[in-house]
Amino acid sequence: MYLTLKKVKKSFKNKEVVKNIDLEVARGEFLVLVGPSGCGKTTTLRMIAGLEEVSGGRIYLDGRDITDLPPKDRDVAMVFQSYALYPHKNVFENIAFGLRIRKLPEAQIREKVEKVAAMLGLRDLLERKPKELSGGQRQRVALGRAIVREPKLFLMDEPLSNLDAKLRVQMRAEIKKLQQDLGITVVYVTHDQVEAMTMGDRIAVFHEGELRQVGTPAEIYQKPVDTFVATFIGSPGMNLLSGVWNNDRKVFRGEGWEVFLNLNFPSGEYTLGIRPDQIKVGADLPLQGIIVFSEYLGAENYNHIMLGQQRLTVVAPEQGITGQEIRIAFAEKAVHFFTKDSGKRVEVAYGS
Amino acid sequence: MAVRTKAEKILKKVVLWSGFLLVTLIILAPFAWLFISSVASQADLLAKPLKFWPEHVDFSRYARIFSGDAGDETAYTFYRAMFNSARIALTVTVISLTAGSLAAYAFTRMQGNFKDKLLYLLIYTYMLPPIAIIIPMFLIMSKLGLLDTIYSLIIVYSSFITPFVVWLMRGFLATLPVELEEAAMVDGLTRMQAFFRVILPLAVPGLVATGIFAFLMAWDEFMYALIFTSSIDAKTISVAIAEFSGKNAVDYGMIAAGGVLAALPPVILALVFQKYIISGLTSGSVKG
Repeated sequence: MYLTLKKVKKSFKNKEVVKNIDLEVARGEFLVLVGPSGCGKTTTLRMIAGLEEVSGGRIYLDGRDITDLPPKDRDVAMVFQSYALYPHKNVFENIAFGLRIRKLPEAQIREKVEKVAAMLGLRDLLERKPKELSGGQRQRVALGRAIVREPKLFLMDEPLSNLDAKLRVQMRAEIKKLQQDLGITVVYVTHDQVEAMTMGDRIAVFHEGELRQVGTPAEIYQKPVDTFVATFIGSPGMNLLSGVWNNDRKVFRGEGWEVFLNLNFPSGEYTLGIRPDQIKVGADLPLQGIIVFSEYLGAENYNHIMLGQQRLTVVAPEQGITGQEIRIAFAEKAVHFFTKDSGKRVEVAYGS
Repeated sequence: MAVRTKAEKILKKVVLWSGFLLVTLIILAPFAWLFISSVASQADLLAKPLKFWPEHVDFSRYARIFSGDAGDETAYTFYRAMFNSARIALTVTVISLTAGSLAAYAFTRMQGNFKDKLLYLLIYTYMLPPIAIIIPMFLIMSKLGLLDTIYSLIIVYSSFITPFVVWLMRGFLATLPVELEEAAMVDGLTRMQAFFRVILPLAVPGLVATGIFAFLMAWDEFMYALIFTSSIDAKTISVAIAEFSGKNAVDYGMIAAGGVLAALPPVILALVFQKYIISGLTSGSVKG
């Protein structure tokens, strides 16, 4: 593998913030580390950069053990959330800085910087200082500074989170396209699951210092390993309903409702998960819910309903009216089951 | 209901401005008088009733000081003392800025349990009253054979101005985002190189402002200078002025001329570097 993390750990003052991470990234891959704040994803990225020492484990890049190398010898580039442009240098010098350190000839520096500037649409801004640029332009300069050096690995730490929503969507696509065009390897940190889903070739979901699941966006979305991943990935998050499965009668009984499912797995207490957009809605369906309130989003509506004594969200084309009845059904292919106590995924067999 | 009438507004302005003028007057009057005394003739200075504006303006005292003529004892003492003070203050500024800003950088960026305690310890040395340690210091300097040399003062001043520099620079460096050095380090520099090539250029306003303070402290210091120096080879300007009021009590004009010269370098420094004292260079490095 191109980049390998083996049992990587980090502790701050006896508190373990990254626990035994094993991770592999292929050459040319876009891997997204995603998780809520404080989950250890940024610390992991900083350990790859060399800005943070590991408390245990090894890191290999392109066949070389880089665990104990200083950042400058790792041949990686990093894009920071705050951009971290050098305020006393203009755009040209900001991009050229890494090349100047490597003492490249002036003509070559000029050629490389201009090529990157053209690629990022910065050609007219080369003489400006960072404070004279907009957020999106600063972001591009930060990207340019990384690209121009042609490093082995790109590390990006929430690079889009200081941009407004519209620009973020645009830059998201631009970064992804750039990565594909240049064939570069990227490890990208974000807390935004939409960014993770849209940009990542694979996603690594972090929670409380642990790596919960690694996989393609589709794998993670379709087969979340636990209730954390199930609710964190996807918007709105997966509905979780606790109840009891009776495998003889093929019925799952929640609080004040029950559903018959043609599935086969041991009887017991479980949490049933179903994505809001995979709940069927229709007049002659078996389950009856009451609409609590409805959020209008244009193309679709989030209807929050009470099913017995349990609350869930249903995505539907029609906007619901508060207090109105809504009839729904859960299909066997759409439901997930998790153990009640640890929240781990339970594999179920279809049919009896 | 407080409806402001026009009269009230005017009154407010009058009160504000007269207060402002009064304060300015109180602050500037001694300087003005000092300058007037330095260019007035002795007769005008001793005349009764007092003449605020001299009849003859006379810059000859400054000419005497700057002639550097060893025969003219009064003027020559000022001349030499000025150079002693300048050499001491400049050396101390360079030493304390170098050591202090490196230490300040370490205090803002390094992690460790003893960091805060160490910082307070440093500040306490600065707060120690000179009178408490001046006798042991005198004995040390005597043992080292440094009494009555400018080196004794350079050492002593550096020892209490450096903590002061650490304190000021620490506050300044803390405003520079850590990501800047991190970016530089990932770009290919060591921490030391990142400090010199990225942090230091950005810290220039802070360094200049702190440097001026450090210079002033060394330039103004009196107690150590009085105790540690005695001859014209090491005496500083603050000591020279003090001695004249004893020995040559009559020559008010000369004392005033010395006073003006002693006050001048700090004023010039502040004027020349005032734009650095107002910082704002870092805006735009991080989100803004």
